[in-house]
Amino acid sequence: MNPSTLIWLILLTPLAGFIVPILLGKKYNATAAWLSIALTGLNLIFSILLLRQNLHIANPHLVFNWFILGKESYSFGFLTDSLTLMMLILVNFIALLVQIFSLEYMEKEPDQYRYVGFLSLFVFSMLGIVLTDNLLVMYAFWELVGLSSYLLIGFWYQKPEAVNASKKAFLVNRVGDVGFLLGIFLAYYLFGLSNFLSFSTEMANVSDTSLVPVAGLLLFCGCIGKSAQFPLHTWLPDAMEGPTPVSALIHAATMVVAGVYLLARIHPLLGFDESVMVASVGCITMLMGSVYAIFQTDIKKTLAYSTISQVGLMVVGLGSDASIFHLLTHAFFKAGLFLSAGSIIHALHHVGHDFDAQDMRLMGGLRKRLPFTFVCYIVCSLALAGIPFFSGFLSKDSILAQVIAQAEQHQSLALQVISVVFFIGILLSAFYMTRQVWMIFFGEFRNEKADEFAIHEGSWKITFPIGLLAILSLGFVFTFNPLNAESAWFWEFMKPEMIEKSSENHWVAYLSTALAFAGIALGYVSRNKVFEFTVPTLDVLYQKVFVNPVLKLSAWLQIFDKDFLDRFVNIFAKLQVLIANMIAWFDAKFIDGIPNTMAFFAGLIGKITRSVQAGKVQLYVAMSFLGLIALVIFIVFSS
Amino acid sequence: MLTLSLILLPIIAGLITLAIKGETAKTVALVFAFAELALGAYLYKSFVPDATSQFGLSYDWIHSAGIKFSVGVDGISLILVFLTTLMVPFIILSTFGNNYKNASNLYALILFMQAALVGVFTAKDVFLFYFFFEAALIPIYFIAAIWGGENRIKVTFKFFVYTIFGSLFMLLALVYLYLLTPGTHSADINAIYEAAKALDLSTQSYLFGAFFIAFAIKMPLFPFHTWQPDTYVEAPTAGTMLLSGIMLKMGVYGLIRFILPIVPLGVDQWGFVAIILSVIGIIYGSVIAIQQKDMKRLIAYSSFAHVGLMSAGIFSRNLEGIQGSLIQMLAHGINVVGLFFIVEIIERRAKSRELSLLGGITQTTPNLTVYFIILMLGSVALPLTNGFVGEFLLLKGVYEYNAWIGAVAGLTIILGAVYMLRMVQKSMFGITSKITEGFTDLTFNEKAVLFPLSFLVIALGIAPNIFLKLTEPAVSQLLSIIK
Repeated sequence: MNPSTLIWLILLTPLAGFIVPILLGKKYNATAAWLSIALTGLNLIFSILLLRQNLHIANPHLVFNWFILGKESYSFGFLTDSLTLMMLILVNFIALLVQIFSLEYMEKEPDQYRYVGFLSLFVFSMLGIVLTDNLLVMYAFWELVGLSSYLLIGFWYQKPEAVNASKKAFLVNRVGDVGFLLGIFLAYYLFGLSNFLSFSTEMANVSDTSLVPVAGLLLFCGCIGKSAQFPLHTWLPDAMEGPTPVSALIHAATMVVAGVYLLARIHPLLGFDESVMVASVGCITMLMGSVYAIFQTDIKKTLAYSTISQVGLMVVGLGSDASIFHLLTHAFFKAGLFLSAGSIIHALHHVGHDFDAQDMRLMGGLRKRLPFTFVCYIVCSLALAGIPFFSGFLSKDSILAQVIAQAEQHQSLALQVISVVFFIGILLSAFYMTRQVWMIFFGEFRNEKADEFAIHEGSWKITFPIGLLAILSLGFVFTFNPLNAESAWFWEFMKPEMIEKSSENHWVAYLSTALAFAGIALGYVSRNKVFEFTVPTLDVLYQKVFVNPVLKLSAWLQIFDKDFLDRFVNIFAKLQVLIANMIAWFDAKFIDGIPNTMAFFAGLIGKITRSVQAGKVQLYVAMSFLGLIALVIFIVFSS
Repeated sequence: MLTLSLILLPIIAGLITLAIKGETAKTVALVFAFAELALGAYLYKSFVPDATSQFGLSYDWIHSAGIKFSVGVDGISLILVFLTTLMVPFIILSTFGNNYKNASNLYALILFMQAALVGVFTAKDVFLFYFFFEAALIPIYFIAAIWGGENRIKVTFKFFVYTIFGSLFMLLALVYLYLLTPGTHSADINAIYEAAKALDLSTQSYLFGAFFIAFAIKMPLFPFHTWQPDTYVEAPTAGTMLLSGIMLKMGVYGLIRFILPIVPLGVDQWGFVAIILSVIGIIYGSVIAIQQKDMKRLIAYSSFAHVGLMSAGIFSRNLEGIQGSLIQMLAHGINVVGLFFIVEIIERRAKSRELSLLGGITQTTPNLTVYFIILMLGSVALPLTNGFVGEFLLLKGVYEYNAWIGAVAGLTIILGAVYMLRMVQKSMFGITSKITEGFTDLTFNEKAVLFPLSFLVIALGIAPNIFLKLTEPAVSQLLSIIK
C-alpha cells in the first residue's frame, strides 16, 4: 500500500472505533469493546507497515485542503519521519494494552460502549497530532484530544467530583491554548505558514527575527497546559477522577506528553535564553511534582504528581532526542504503574464496600495477595527511580548528560542550577516510590472493612498488559549494555545518518545511581511515617487571584448592566421624550410650515414619542413609514 | 426572478397561513418554509463564485427620485440569504411541541419576517434596504409582544423604540448621501459608494457615527446592548431564535455593506474605537454570562459576546476578519438556534430554565445529551466544528490589526468555554432534581430539528470552504474598494 492510503487508514480506523460503538449503544457493550481492540490492533499493524516502508523520511503527504483564504491554503499534510512513526506505534501499542485491560476493568459498566468510543476518539485525535505537518491542524487535533480527555475524565457524570475535574481540565488547558493560538498567529505573521519543518529554512526570510523566540514561547504555552507544566499543572491530579485505564493511557503515557512532542517540533524557534526559560519551567515542575508526590495518600494521585515531575524532566530536555527517549521509556513504565494500580483498585473493589479503594492507608501487605502485580509494580518503580538495568536509568541519564554538557558549553549558571535540581529530583522520585511501594505491598493489611483473603489477581486481561509493560521497562529492551545509554538502538532509529557521540560523563551516571539508591534507603527508613498534612496547592491561589475576582467582576458587571447602563438608556429615552415635546411645541409655534428636513424630523420624533407615551405602537409604526414616504416625496419635489 | 421569488414566496405563504385557522396552519407554514429553503439551496447551487451581483432585478419604484426596487445577490448576500432560508423551517419546526393561541398569526408573522430579512440581505437600493430593515422589526415586535413572557409589553416596547431610534440616524445618513448623488439622484448602492468617495474626513466621521449607532444597536454592541438580554428572555423561543439567529446579522451585514465601503476614512479614524467597543463587548458579555442563572439569558449574553468578535473582525478590515465574520454568522445562526431550542425542550419538560433547579437530565436522555454537547462544542469553537474556522479567522484578523487587541479578544476562547461548560454541567450532569426526574428523551419532531443542525455543526467544521469560496471574491472586491 502506498503511504497516503496507509495514513488515511491509520486516521480512519480509530474514527470508526469512535462512531460505531456510539451508534450501536448499550446493547452491544461487549461487541464494541472487542471491536475497538481489533481496530487498534489493525491500526498498530498499519503503523508498522508504514514504518517499514519509508523509515526516517520527512516527507509530508498532502492529502486534504481544509480551507483556502486568498493565497493562503490551510491544509492537512502528513509526516512520516522517525518521530511521528515512533509516536504512532507507541500510542497504538499503549492504547491496545489499555483496551485489553479495560475489558475486565470496565466490564460491569453499563455505559461501556461510551467508554470504548471515547477512547477511540482519543486515539484518533492523538494520532492526528503526531501525523500533521503544521501547527494549525495540530491545534485542531490538540483541542480534540482535550475534548476526549474532558469526556473521559467526566465519564462518571453522576459524580460531581468527576464532572468538576473534567471541566477544570478542559478550562485549564484552554488557558494554555490561547497562548498556543497566538503563537500560531505570530508564526503565520513571521513565516507566512505554520509548517514547522519549514521554520528553519524560512528563518532567512524573516524580517523581524526578534519575534521568532516570542512565537516559540507562545507556542510553548500550549505545552504548559497539555503537559501539565507549572503553573498550569493543577488539572492533572484532579483528572484522576476518570477511570484508571484512562489515567494510564491519557494522563500518563500519551496525551500529557503531547506538549513534549510539540516542543520537539518547535524547538528551532527557541534561542538559548528562551531554551533556558523553558528548561526552568520544566525544572520547577519536576521539583514541585516530586515534592507533592510525597504527601499523597491516594495511590493514583502519587502517580499523577510523579507524572507531572517526569514530564517536567522531559521539558528540561527541551524536546531533544533524549527527551523523546524518556517519553518512550516513561510511557511504558508509567502505563505499567497505572495499570498495576488499576489492578489493585479492581481487586479491592471486589472485597468490600464503603471504603476508598484508592487510599494507600487502607492497603498494606498486598504482595502476598497480588504477587504478580507486586513484581510488575516493583519493576516499573525501579525504572521510574532510575536504577541501572531498568529503562528509566538510560533515558534520565541521557537528559542529564545533555543538560550538563550544555551547561559546560555555555558556562550557564542557570543550567548548572537546573542540573543540581535534577539530581535532587532523582533522589526524591526514588524516595516517594519506595514509600509508596511499602505502603501498598508491605506490612500488614490495614483495611478492616475488606476481606483480605478474598483479594486475588485479575484474569489475563489484567495481568498480560501489566506484565508486558513491566518487561518493556527493563533496560535490556533498549540496549544490550544496560549501563550505557549511548548504546541504545533508539538514537539510530531517530537519526540514522548521524549518531551523536557526546562526551561521556561517567560521574553523572554514578552520582545519579548513588542518589537513587539513597532515595530508596531514605524511603525505607521513613517507611512507617505517614506524612499526613495537605500541602497548599496553587489552586487555592488561583481561586483567590483569578476565579473569585472574575466572579466578583461578573456580579459587578451584572449590576452595572442592569442598574446603570440600562437605567441610563431609560433616562435618556425619557429625556428624549421631553425634548421631543419641547421641539414639537417649538415646531408648532414658530417654524410651522417651513420645509426644513431637520425640523420635520424633530416634529416626527415628537409625534412619535407622544404617541408612544399614549402606548399606540401601531400608530408609531405607521408614522415611521409615513415619515419615510413623506420624506421621499419632500426630497422629490424639492430637487 | 429568483431573488424576487425568495422575497415573495414567504409573503404569499404568510397570507395563506393567515387564512387557514387551526392546526393545519403550522404544517402549511412548514411546507412553505421548506419550499423557500429549496429556493435558497437552488440559489446557492446556481450562484457563480465571482464578485458580481447576480440574479438581479430592478423595477422603478419612485421614478422621478431614482428610487428603485432593486435586488440582487453577491457572495456576501448569498451566505445570509442562505442562512435565512435555512433557519426558518427549523424555527417553525421547533414550535411544534407548543400550543399557541392564534397560531396561524404567529406562523404568518414568522414568514413575513423571513421575507423582510431576505429583502434586507438582497436590497441594492438604499431606501429599499431601509424599508426592509424597518419592516423586519414589525413581525418580530408582534411575535414578542403577543406570545412572549410576563414582562413582554414593557420589554418589547423598549426594544422597538431603541432600534428604531438607531435606524433613524441611518436614514438621515442615507438621505444625506442620496442628495449627494449627481443629476436627478439615485439611491442605488453603487451610486452611493461613488458619491461618498468625494467626502472629507469630518463628514465621513459624522456619517460613520450615524451608521454605527444604527448597526451597533441592532447587533448589539457594547454599550448599546441593554435591550437585548431582556428581549431574548421575554420573547417566545421562536422569536428569540429569529432575533439571535438571523436578525442580529442585519447589523453585522450593515457594517460590511455600508460602513466599510461608504466611509473608509471614517473607519480609519474611528475603527479603532469600534474595535475597542467590540472587544469590551466580548469580555463583558462572557463575564456576565458566567453567572447567569437563566439558561436563555446566559445564551443571550453569549450571543452578545460572539457578535462583538464578528464586529471586531470586520473593523480589522482584512480578508481574514471579514471572511471570518461571514462564516461565523452562518455558524452562530445554526448554533444559537440549536441552543435556544434545547433550552425550550428543557423548559417544556421541567417547566423551568433555572440552572440551580436543573441537573441530572443526562441520565434519562442520551440523545438530548449528544446534541447538546455537539452544539455546545460548536459554540465554544472546538476545531472541526462550525464555530472554529470563523473564530480562528476572526481572531487572526484582529491579531493582524493589532496583536495586543487580538490577545485580549483571544480570552474568548477561555471565557466561552467557562460559561458553556458550566451551563451543560449544571443542567445536564450531576444528580436529578425534583423537576428533572423522569425527564423524557427527544421526540421525533425535536430530533428532526436537532439532527440537521448538529450535522451542520460538524459538516461546516470539516468543509468550511464550500461557503468561504463563494464569499471570497465579493469580500476581496470590497477590500479593494476600501484601499
